[in-house]
This record gives sequence, C-alpha cells and structure tokens, in this order.
Amino acid sequence: MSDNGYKQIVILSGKGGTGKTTISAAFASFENDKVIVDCDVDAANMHLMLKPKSEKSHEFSGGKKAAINNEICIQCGLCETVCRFDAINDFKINHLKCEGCGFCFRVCPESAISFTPSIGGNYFECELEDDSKFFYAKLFPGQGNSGKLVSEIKKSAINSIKENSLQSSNKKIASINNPDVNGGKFIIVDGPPGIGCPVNASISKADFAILVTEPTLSGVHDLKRLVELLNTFKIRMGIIINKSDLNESVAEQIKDHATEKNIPLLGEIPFNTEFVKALIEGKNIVEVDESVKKDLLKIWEKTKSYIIN
Amino acid sequence: MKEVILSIASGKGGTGKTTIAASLASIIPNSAYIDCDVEEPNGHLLLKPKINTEEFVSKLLPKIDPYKCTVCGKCVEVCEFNALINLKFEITLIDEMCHGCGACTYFCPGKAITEIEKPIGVIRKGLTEHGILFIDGLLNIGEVAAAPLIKAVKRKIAGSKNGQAGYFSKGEISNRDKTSKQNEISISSIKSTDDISQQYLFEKTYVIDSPPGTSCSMVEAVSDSDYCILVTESTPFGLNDLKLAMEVLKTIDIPFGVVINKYDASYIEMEKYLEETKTDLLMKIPFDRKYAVAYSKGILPIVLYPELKNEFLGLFDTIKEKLMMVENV
Repeated sequence: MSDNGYKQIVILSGKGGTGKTTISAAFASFENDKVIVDCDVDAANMHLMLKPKSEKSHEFSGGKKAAINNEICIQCGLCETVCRFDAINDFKINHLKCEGCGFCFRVCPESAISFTPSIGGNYFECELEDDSKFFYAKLFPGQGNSGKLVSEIKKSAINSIKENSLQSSNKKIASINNPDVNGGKFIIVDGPPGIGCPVNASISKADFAILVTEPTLSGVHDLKRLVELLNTFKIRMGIIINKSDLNESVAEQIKDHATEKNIPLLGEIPFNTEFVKALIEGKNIVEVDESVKKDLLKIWEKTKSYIIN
Repeated sequence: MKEVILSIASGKGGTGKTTIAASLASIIPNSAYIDCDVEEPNGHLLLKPKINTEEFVSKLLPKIDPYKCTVCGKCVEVCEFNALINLKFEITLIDEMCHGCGACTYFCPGKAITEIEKPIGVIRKGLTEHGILFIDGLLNIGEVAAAPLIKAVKRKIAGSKNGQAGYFSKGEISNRDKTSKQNEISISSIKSTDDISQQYLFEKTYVIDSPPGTSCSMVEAVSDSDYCILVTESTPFGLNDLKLAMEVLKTIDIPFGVVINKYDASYIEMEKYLEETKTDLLMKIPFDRKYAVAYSKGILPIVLYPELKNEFLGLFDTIKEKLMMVENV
C-alpha cells in the first residue's frame, strides 16, 4: 500500500465546502516529510493558500477527439446515427459532448473524420517554502477524464518520492523542524467533492481517509454515501465534524452513525469566523489562530495514531 | 408565455447552490426543481417532496457470446477506453472502463456481442407540499459515470414538456423541444420590473441544481439552459472557481450572472473582478449564522426570514429582465 514508507491520506467530504482544503493544508503544515496533492482537478484551490515558490507545468493528454473534414464529408449521416453522446449535429462535432470513443471515425465510409489526441489540461509540480513537493492540476473547462487526471497527478507525486529517495537528498528531519510532532512520511491528498469518477481515482491506494463533515442534514446525507463507497473499497477512515456547534442534534446524528459504522471520531471543530478570515488573507489557519492550531494538532495526532495502527 | 430553464452552478462546492435553487423554485410560480448533483443530491432535504415515481437508469455494456466469439480481437482494437482485454482464449470486459459507446458491438464480425443494461442510478420524481415539481437523480454508490445519469435526468424535462411520462430510449436527443422557443412574446420596451412581472409570465420554469466543479458533469447539467446563475462566496477560493465556471459558460455560450453568498465586504477582489469583466452581479447574501442554522435543519432560510424572501423576489425580477435582454438581442 505505501510507497517508500509514505502513508497515503486522503481528505474527503462528499458535500462541498465543508473545509477539506483548509484542514488538509493545516495537517500538512504539521509534517515535514510529506508530499501534498490537490486532487480537486476541476476546481483546484490549495495552491492559492500554499503559494508554491516554483512550479513546473506538464501537459495532460485527455484522450482523443474527433473532427469532421467537411470537404470530404458526403453528409451520409452515419456518424450522427452511431454517436451515443449527442455530439454530432449537422455534420459538426461538439467537442464538449464528444467522449472520444472514435466510433464515428471508424464508421465513416469516406474517412472524412480525423481522430487525434487532445490536451485535456495541465498539472503542476511545485516546490513549497519548506522544500516539500506539491502537485495540483487544471482540467480544461468542461472536460471529461477528471479521474484520469487525478490518477496521473497521484502517479507523479509517488514518482517524485521515489526519485527523491534515490537521490537521498538533504531532507530535513521532522523532529528538528517541528518539535511538536512525531515524524512520519505522508502523502496528503486533498480530494474532490462528490462520490463519482475523480473521487474513486483519489481514493485508490489510500491508507486512510479523513472525512470532513458538517452538522447539516446535507452534510450527514452526503457523508453516509461516502462511507458506503469507502467501505466497498475497504479503506479505513475517521470523521472530523467541522462547524460542530452549528446544530448539536445533527452533530449527534453524525456521531451515532460513526459509532454504528465503527468509524472513529477524530475531532470536532467549532464554528469560527477565523477560518474565513484566513482564507481571505490567503493564509493557512494555523498561522492565524493559535488556539485553532492547537486543536487541529491534537486532531492530527489522533488521526496519526489511527493511521499507524 | 414560454418555458424557461434556469441553472444554478458554481465552481466551488458548498457555496449555496442548492439553497438558492430551492429558494428560487419556491418563489417562482409554476416551477420545477431538477437536482442534477447526482453524486450528492441534497435538494430533497430542503424541499421535502413526496416522491411518487422512481425509475432506474441503466447504461449499456457489451456481453460477449463465448460460443460465437472467435477472439479475433476486433472489439479490443476499436475500444478507445481499454475496457476490453484479449486474454488469448477469450475477451473480457472491465465494466468500470466501459463508456457504452457501442463500437465493439457494431464492429464485431461474428455478431458475437449483444448489449445488456447495467443500472447506474435512479431518477426520483414527486411533488412538494406547495406543488413544485421535483426531480432528482441519485447515482449508485461505486458508479463513476455521473454525466449519463444527469443526461437522463434532463431528458425528464423534455419528457414533461412533451406531455410524455418521461419515456426515453437510447439515441434520443436530449435537446429541448426547440419549437417552444418560437412561441415567445417579444416585448420591445421595458419600463420597470413591475411591467415585466405582469407581462412576462413563464409558463413553466425549470430550476436546475448543478453539481460543483467545471468538468463534464457540470457542462451536462447547465447545457441548454436559458440562463445560469453562478453562486460564489467572498473568498479567494470562491473567486478562483468562479473564474473557471465563467470560462465554461462562455465556451458553451450561456448567459449568466453572479450571486455572492456569505458576502463579506472585506473581500473586495470579488466585486472588483466582476466590474472589470462587466459581469452582472445579481444579488449579495450577507453572511449570517442564522441562515446556516436554518439550512442545517433542512429549512430554507427564506421560510424563516421574510427579508431574505424579498431579496429572492427581487432576484427573480432581475433574472426575468436578463432573460428578456437575451431574447431581444
């Protein structure tokens, strides 16, 4: 499961806007030997907070796209008939609807359709202030293949660890830099919302999932579906209730569900406007509020005890 | 009189799409609420509809008849998604990789492939206490393909428009009935919003709640809408994802405006950006803990707070005005 001793931790929520990125960034700040990956590839945000000091861009090949050459096309309409994605209309291909299956290209009797690889987005290999690696991506608007891009950045992150350990570089040792924490090696994956394609790609090979939820009926509903998904993959997990004092009875529902499903409660974070302030200032919450930092560190230590066991 | 499709989207999750979509559906006369966030649909928690039909949605997967298959490998060759694997003595399918394009079935020289249906989710249909038509899609857990289910949900709009019970078959085009666009009243002079509300009543307004993000699922949800409301929040994350969502809407040519939720005056960059790009700011909803508390209980804040309801009535007037401007161009 782990790569070169690195444990892969994925932060998920089901529902969006529960605080995944803020909490991921906070936990990452407690560790020195880490790689951070933002897997929310169609709405990446973590780079805005981490502000990498350098980044190298890579192209992501999203798949092939078809195009009709209207000079050769005899307008027989066969391509439109076979296309199941409603991508062909009036002998033109709508690129946003094209799945890249190539059916039209193969079926065309006049070979009037081309089928060529297209770039689906970019991903960025970055270095942070503390010399650790950070990966994020930008899927081009409206593209499919978000799961494929997630797999690709995760692969790059793992490869970077392998390269790094080959060079046996001058990695700083955790206990020197940050005496508050016990050292460990982590790949911290900030996951996308939902339970679909990119989430499935984000959780593959994860050692542990941290589920960040909020005490709202939507939060609970979405959490339950996510738990079910993670159980089918047999991934161990723990729950953090963010904005925990927003609704105490719903918070109780979450705890009951956790108990019923035998999922540890890693911690509760009360509603606090400092979180939004930190976001607006583009800062990590641990730089802004000392008491929140202490609470988060405690939650992270507890999380680690579950990860390691 | 016409039918209008209004979509509510955002790049970032948790900005308030569902609350805004459900609130609009509640105040707009003769409306329908369509939840296209099929991975995590939440609208039912706020609107509490009485569901009266549930319908399973399937995708097509190839099934290879081992007696007819000669393992020639043609199907493997035409599959762009590597869903078929040639094991030398047989061909095997990896379900999750299959996009259901049908190329393998078509090109199999021995006619050894037929297609079977695999359930991907369910479409629920019902009515709320106040008579709002409610439709949502619920993706099966473990299923990766949200977009085909969203497409099926949206076909229900076409279905109800044509007065059908929502029957659809593969290959049917999901576009809305284009003839409805021809029966519009064109009003050349607009004096005030009051005039608009009186003269310009929609026969039916479909409010689509889109999934977050900017990928294929979001495009599937918002495509074909007459107008899109992008919901954002006063943070750099909100702004960054708003920019991405705006790019999508510009690409697919859908007019849009922005609602800033959890508005925080100290974050000036948001409004600065909207001004610079000449983007319509439709409404600002101040951050208020009491709204969040109402939402947490599954109560629409507009039900408890009349001042907010008035804001939404104003928003609807603004949107009507925008829709007319779109038509008169």
